[in-house]
Amino acid sequence: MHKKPFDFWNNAVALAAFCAFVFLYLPIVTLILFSFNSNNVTKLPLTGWTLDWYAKALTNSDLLTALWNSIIVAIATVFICLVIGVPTAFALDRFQFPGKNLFRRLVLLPITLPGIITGVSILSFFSMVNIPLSLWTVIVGHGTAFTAIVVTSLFARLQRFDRRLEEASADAGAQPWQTFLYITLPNIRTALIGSGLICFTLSFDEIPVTFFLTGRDNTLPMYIWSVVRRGITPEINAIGTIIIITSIVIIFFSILMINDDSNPKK
Amino acid sequence: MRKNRIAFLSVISGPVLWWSLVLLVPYLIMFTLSFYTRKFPSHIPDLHFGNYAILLADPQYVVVFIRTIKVAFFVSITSFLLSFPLAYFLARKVRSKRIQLMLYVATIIPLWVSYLLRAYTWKTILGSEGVLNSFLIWTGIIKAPVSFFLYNQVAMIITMSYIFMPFMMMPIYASLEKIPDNLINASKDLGASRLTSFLRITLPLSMPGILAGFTFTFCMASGDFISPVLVGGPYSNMIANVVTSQFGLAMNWPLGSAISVILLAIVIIVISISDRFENTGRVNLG
Amino acid sequence: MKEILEVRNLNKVFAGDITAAEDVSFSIQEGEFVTLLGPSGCGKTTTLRMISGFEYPDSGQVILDNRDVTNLAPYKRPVNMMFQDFALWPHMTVTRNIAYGLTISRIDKDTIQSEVSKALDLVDLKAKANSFPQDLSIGQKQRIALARAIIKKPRILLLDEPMSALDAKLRESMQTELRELQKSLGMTFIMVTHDQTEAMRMSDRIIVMRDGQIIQAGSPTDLYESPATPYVAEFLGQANVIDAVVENVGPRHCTAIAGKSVFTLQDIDAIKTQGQPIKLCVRPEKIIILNTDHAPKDDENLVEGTLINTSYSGNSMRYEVDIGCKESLIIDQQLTAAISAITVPLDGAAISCCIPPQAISVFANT
Repeated sequence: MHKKPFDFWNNAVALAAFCAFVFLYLPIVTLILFSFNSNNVTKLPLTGWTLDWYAKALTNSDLLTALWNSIIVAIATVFICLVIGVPTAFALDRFQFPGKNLFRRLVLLPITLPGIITGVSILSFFSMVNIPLSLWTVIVGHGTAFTAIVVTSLFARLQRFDRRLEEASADAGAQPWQTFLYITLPNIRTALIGSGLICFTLSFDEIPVTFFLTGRDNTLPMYIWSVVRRGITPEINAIGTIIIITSIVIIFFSILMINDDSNPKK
Repeated sequence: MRKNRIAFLSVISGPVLWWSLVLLVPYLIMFTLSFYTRKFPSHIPDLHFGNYAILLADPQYVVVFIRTIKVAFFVSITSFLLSFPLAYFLARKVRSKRIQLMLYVATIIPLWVSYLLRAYTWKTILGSEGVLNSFLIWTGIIKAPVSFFLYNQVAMIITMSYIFMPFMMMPIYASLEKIPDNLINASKDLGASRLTSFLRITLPLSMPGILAGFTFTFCMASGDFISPVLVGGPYSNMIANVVTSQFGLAMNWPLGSAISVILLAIVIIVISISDRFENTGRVNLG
Repeated sequence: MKEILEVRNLNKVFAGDITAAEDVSFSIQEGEFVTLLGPSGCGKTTTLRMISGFEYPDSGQVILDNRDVTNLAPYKRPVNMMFQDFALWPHMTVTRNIAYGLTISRIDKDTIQSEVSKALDLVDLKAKANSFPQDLSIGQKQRIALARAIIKKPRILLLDEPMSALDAKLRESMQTELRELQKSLGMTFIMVTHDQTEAMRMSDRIIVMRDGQIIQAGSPTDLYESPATPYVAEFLGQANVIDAVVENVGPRHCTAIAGKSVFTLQDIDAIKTQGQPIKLCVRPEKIIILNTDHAPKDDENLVEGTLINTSYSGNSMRYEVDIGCKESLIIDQQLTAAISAITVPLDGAAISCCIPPQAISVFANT
């Protein structure tokens, strides 16, 4: 075999990429590592293995209440995102109408804008019509902020979707609702599940919108925020590790679902 | 076609109602509110430019605006310097499609993982009692902990670059990945060196992605209020922090709205500029 | 025979003022195999889609079995379509794809099962019943699409470019197979294609379309032997189209001059006066190259020129001959035991050939 000569540029690129990758994961690894470390200060060297922080976190009733609130909010958010996002994506994919471009820009604005603007504007609206802040207002805020995720991924899928599959169904005698149920839905299912899961994790972690729209109830990130502003505690590392690992698993699957190419348009 | 119209109305009416109620109306209210007068403990309807005047005249706010733009700019640059080699490596150097996809997914996963926790981790790393200091002491590089890692703008820029880096990485990767190998091979075939081929073929063709990455990162960074609080220290207030305090403790909603409107304007201007660039310089790779 | 479909004065204009159909009318008899033929954008697919119900005409009617179905939704029409690229549902097995039309009609399971198994037998793909479409070859996909389209025994089967995905070899065998199937089922087929060979091979009747209009309709021989316009002549097979000027107008014969040659013409309907510019159409294979074995008869038009190019395709030889006109004359010669590639003249040689008057179609200049 002929040995390749040392290639400076290729190695430099690989090294830079490796450094960037380390940069991405070092903090996550740190967080996880210190959640198992017995020292109550996050410093090296490691002092020993413990599960105390997890025990503490999981018996903290404020934290558990906040966790429960977050789960409720996230589920409701996913519901809103799908109920609004699906018809929006269909309208954008299948119909021509005046103002379509403007409509699309408006709908996609919340994912390009910093969350704080969504939070502030909805807060102003609720206060003007005298709706008291609660988890419900948080849900509306999250729904506004994240529906665009469902819209973009479903729209992309619909664009790749071969409309002739639907025509073939109508041709075979299927009513429009049958075509939707038996042909369209199975082909966009993975995009819906994937983007729904992403909305779930994003809502579960959301701070900027929640900050303005929550009433007396805390969500988990708001609780964590109130704690970490004061100082560092490994208990946060423990709950953070649980959140991050769960998110990584959920996100991994949702990315696979959204990019699912088993039914490409030919 | 009549049938079509009915289908269209049944699909669109729900979304239109929803988007008007949660986006359009709130934006308009926020805009209106920015012309109101503050009257403790609330505000009264008015139409004056006093709030905007304050923001332009009071150096306290001007400094914040400049700082926000500066930080967001440096965050975009840092993210770019970190993301481009990674995206380039993944898109053009990794030969196996499977490994490429796996590495790509691994790279963008942190994008969706808890934003708050990622900011928080940097606090634990950079603090005077933190991981970095203790590591340096442990290995004997320094004797006593140093405090200049945390609570300054550099810490803020590192943290925010970390948080928003995947926003830069994704569009750059997408644009690099779809350049056909033969476009670059043709350049080499005609005698261009690798560097020349990179500068004259690869880089221009990935420009739309780079531009989109800068836009995303800049917009996101300019609206962050978590990192400044966690790692920024005393002189790190950004626009978003001022907004939170005006809507919170200061109870000055009209001023807060005016700031939000300006933030919104900055972001929309940046998006339009990048749209303009992208459309004039658009390279269609079919 | 009984009329099954009548299309009356269909008009369709798409957004952006693209005329897809202009006053399209034709009727089809039961059991016929009719092909809509034309280049892409000629309106053939739009016409097919108006018959199937995926497009509604701006004006005009579609009459199926004496019933006006013009504005009926596709799922209410007793016609089925075999789609271009097949449109097989990727999330269903072959069996479920084929059964779909019956399943949604709530037909009992036993009937469905026996019908599906008959259909699978018909297309000879029993072994693939539980595969997914992605795992089939293109030829197999096509058979499944066919089985799916005929399972409901449609009054008419519509075929949208059915062969476009197949390679040349497979295409030829499928053409024969499909035609035989159509005959044995006695089903009415309407096919859309841009491939003239395919249209000629398979159809009872061909409808040639261009720019949304029907130019000519007739049996393959009609179209080939007496094309209505030079366009049809050139679209169906190879044709020499020569610009000429009328010299003599007679009651049964006329003469015309093109380049150095004088042509006697029998097809004289288009000829009005002396000096009229006309177009002559001749099929390359109807021109005879003169040699020692073949001397020109009196009534055959003698043409002389210089050979400028030859191309060899195994069983035949194509000559390009400069006869002093704008376009050179193309001549096809079957190679036989007597005439082989070796005896072919070299480029630059003088060539004499003759064209029988009955082989020349004459068109007035438009």
